Amino acid sequence: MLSDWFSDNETLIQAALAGALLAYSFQIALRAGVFTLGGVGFWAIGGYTTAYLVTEREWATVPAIGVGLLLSAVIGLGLALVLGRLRALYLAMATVAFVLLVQIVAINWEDVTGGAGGLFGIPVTVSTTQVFLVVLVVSIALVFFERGARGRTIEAMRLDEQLAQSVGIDVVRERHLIFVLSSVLAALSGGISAVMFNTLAPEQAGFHLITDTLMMVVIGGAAAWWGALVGAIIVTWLPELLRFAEDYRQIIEAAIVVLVIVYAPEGIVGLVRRVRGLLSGRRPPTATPFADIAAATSPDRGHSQPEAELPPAAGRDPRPATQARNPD
Amino acid sequence: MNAQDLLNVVVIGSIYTLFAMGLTLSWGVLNILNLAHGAIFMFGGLLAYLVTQDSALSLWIVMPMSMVVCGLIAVLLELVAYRPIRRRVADLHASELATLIASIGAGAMLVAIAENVTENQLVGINPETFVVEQTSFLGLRTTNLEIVIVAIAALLSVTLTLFITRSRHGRALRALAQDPYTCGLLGISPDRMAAATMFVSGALAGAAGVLLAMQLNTVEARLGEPLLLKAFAVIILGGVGSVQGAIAAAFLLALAETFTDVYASTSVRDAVAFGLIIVLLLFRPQGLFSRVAWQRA
Amino acid sequence: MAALEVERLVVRYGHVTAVRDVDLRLEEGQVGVVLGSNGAGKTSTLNAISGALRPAGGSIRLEGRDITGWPSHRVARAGLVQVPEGRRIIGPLTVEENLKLGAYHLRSNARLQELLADAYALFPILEERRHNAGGLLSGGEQQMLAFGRALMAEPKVLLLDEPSMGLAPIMVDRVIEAVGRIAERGISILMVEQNAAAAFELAAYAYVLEQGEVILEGRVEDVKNDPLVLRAFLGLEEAPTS
Ligand SMILES: Nc1ncnc2c1ncn2[C@@H]1O[C@H](COP(=O)(O)OP(=O)(O)OP(=O)(O)O)[C@@H](O)[C@H]1O
Ligand SMILES: [Mg+2]
Repeated sequence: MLSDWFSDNETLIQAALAGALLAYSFQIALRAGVFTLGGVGFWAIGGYTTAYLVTEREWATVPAIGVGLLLSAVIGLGLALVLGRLRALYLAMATVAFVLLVQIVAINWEDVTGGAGGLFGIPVTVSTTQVFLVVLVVSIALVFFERGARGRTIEAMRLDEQLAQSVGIDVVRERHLIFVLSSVLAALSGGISAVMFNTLAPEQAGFHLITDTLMMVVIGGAAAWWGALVGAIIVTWLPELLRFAEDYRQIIEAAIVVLVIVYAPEGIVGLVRRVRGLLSGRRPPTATPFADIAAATSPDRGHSQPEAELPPAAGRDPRPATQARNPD
Repeated sequence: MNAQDLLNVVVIGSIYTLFAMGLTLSWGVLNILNLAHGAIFMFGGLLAYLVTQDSALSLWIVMPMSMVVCGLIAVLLELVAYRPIRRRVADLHASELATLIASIGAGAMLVAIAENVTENQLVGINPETFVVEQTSFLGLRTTNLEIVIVAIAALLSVTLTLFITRSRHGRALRALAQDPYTCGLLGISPDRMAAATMFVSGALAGAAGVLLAMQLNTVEARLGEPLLLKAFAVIILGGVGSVQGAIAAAFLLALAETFTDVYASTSVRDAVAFGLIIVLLLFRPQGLFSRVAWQRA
Repeated sequence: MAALEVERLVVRYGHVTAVRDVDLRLEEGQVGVVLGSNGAGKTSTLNAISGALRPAGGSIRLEGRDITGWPSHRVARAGLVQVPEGRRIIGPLTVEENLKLGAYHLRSNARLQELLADAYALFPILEERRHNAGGLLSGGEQQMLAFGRALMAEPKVLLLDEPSMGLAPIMVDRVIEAVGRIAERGISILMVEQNAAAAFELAAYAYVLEQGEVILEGRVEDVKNDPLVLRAFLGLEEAPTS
């Protein structure tokens, strides 16, 4: 019975597991207030490295993936050093540019990547159970990470970087660390995907993978590690669940993302916490990068420049943070 | 590079200008980096295809119509998604990022709708909408359509520049980019200005969409995607929110791309914009032309 | 009929109540002053009156008309304009553009030019600097610009939030004198001011706000001699510990 379901849905399960790892990669960065979308580029780097070593060099899977992780860690650190001081939208778009650059390299470096057509017949060397175990181990590690001192550190960084700095957190170093960690997780997802699905093409590592992964994090919620996991499962199964909608499926999928980010920015995690809060009669804390995280200190809006040279209008924004803003 | 290539630069630069002006406007004034802009642009072309399917209509009817509808689509996004986010999220960065993600979702929705409508086929605007003829201009080969594209881009960019620098609404827009709170105290409605900005932004995208669809002779759901990142490069190059900067940067990017096309290869050409983004963000995040958004506008 | 009547005004930020049941009244053509230490809720009060904040309770009437809960741009059009704390000049815009911003409601160029000439007559320094970026003016000049800009909106009631904040003593005098000139035009003014001595020269009525509540109010002649005001705002003794 269960094994029937398992074999019927094995591809989806595999996709959800790989998706969860990539979603973790996005989530960990977001939770530290580092809005990098570069994960998809590292997904490709990890994937191609593994595929190349396993197929062309006949390496064993684990060292092949290991090299992919190492390479991503190094490039990730490089990227962190280069783009580290960018914030918010600028960082997001710069990392999108990085992803598309990686994609262009993948299209053009035919000897290694197979060019635009991609690689076929990569030996399938991992079982679903093994991948499940990897995801389990990573999840447990993330739980410890979240509960530990570092979890509080990155929380503080996202909430108020200057404050974090002033209480002795080396924000620059922590951001670099997060960058590297996020890159490695993404590469792990890419490497596993390569030897799990046996094909890899540049078009997979494009903008739509960014969209899909963001969707996982947003729907699941970024406030707790399991949001990414739940999000990955939901997003992977969504096409199945929406099969009744036929041609309108993709429209509905996209609409869900918009609705969630606008009206339920804390995703499933927020929902669960709210229900739990109602049951225990306490108010749950807000802790999602997209939710209102700056209740106490709302900075001046309207200064989108990373280095505005003119003095900003003095004084803090007098509009309340939590009180409803006046409608037009 | 020869003069023919330069003509090419002017045509491509015109399309980039039309596309990027609207995007820089919503970003500079409202902090909305509207990644649905590419989809709205595509919708401009799609609408032109739809209304000319059965009977040919003049470009001079089709284009204004697409502009209005695309403007309204952008306003709709502002009303149902971006404004509620701005209301809820007080922190600027958090609200920018939520808006970015909402715009990705909104864009995906529009693309999915377009895929439904076109049944994933390449479609084309009725060629009788504008009969394309080869002509020559200063001894260079061109078409009457290319001349129209350049002329419309010039007309719209001059109009927009004058609007922003001279009119009372333009003044209010520049102020809104800096300080919505003070604008409200002076009797300017930030919400109304935001809707108006989104309308203008969408309308410009619509015009560009019709023109590019005519030029390529195709419409497809993903028409806008490649342009989006290029427009981002243009905006970074020109300085966020600076319309004049965007215009100059659009032609500069077109020039750089054509240059690599001629002297390197087409595959490298696509990397120009992306490489440019990273390099620029590193060395001159405030853009090449303006010191601060709006300062020169 | 009073120019401005505020009754039982409440402002909350989330769970924090910043203003509690505040009553204020400003007669036509009068200058009123609101005193209070830092964080007393002065700015919150003004923001709630001008519509920049939605009050959590109470009512606000402008010349008898109920404007409670109106958004700020509507309140401004109705004739109540707030000059915000810290002046908030739009830095990249020129002085003249900043002034014209105040006259956003005007479609007629003739009236705009009239108002502009008027503002320049009132503050000649602005005319000298008309083409400079607003952000490059000195603090005192920026305050004049903020006044001029607010006047361009043709207000009946002006709210001034600490106009002398951060200015050199000599500039403080000029700013207070400017407020006096504005008052001479019959515009009713409610002013938040730390510099009580200066404010008392203009004001007829005073309120003292503490922790979001009015703890003292009255005609300036009376309030001036209140021991609390003497100690806390006129610096005649050590500040009390409350
Ligand atoms: N946006 C906000 N969010 C949360 N609390 C706020 C906000 N603005 C003000 N407060 C709080 O409300 C209280 C009143 O603040 P307000 O700015 O009105 O005081 P004020 O009298 O104008 O002080 P100051 O003399 O410093 O200008 C303070 O405790 C302040 O911390
Ligand atoms: Mg104050």
